[in-house]
Amino acid sequence: MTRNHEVISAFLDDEPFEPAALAEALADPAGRDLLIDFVLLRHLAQSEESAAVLTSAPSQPRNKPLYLVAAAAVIVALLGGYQIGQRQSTDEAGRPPTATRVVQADSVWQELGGVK
Amino acid sequence: MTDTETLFVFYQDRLRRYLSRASGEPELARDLTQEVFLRVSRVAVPVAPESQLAGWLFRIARNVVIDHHRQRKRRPEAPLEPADRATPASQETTSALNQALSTLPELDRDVFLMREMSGLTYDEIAKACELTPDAVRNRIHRARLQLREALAPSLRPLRVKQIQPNGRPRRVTP
Repeated sequence: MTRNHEVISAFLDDEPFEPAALAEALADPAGRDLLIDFVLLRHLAQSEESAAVLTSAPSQPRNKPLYLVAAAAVIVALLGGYQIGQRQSTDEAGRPPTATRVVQADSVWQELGGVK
Repeated sequence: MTDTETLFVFYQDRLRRYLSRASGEPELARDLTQEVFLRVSRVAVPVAPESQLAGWLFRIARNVVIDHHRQRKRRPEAPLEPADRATPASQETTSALNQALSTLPELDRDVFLMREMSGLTYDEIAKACELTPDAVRNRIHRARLQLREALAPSLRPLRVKQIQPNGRPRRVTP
């Protein structure tokens, strides 16, 4: 059956075939069954493929956890930074700033001659 | 047609359909299609008739799939979650089809998928798989016979349904 019914595959695939060989193959009920099953098989493969592509297209599920982890890390970093900043700013608010330079002022007022 | 961009526009859908089935992971089809064109962009696209270009492109795609399977063997990961929007019945059929395809010899599966998923001619498949057109005809027929046998329970119910040209079969109402 495999050999002489190859013409059915060629016919189905729009490839060159001998009409007499096809007529012979289709005269056999098994050949007709084969043609129908090959059409159904094609239909099955193509419909399932399109369904799979359609359902997988909108999102990338395997990348989702990575995005979530990245978003969580950014939020934690922002909150942590805010907390640390808050703590430091409240600690320093009550204290005067530390002197970085001491300027010695003259103890006696001096009047400069010629200037009134 | 000689530049990568034109090839991409012309072949991306056909490649994606083939890669979706050949990899066994439809979710990866887009990534693998990009990988094919990444490899294409690294070499000069041959100036050749369309049938030879298709064969050349699908040979690269076939190598991408082979590399993908090798990497999967080396670094086994949990399989990706199947799309869960399909009905249980179609999930069963999908699983039966994938199972049946996985039992085929690699080359038979590839020639079958290039024909059914991407619509390549026997000549184009012959160039992609480095076979003769006669060998392609023989392998496609053999693959179909094997799949028919393996999928008999899934094919039987389809015989009483009406087949839509580009969609799922519809049950014939009396």
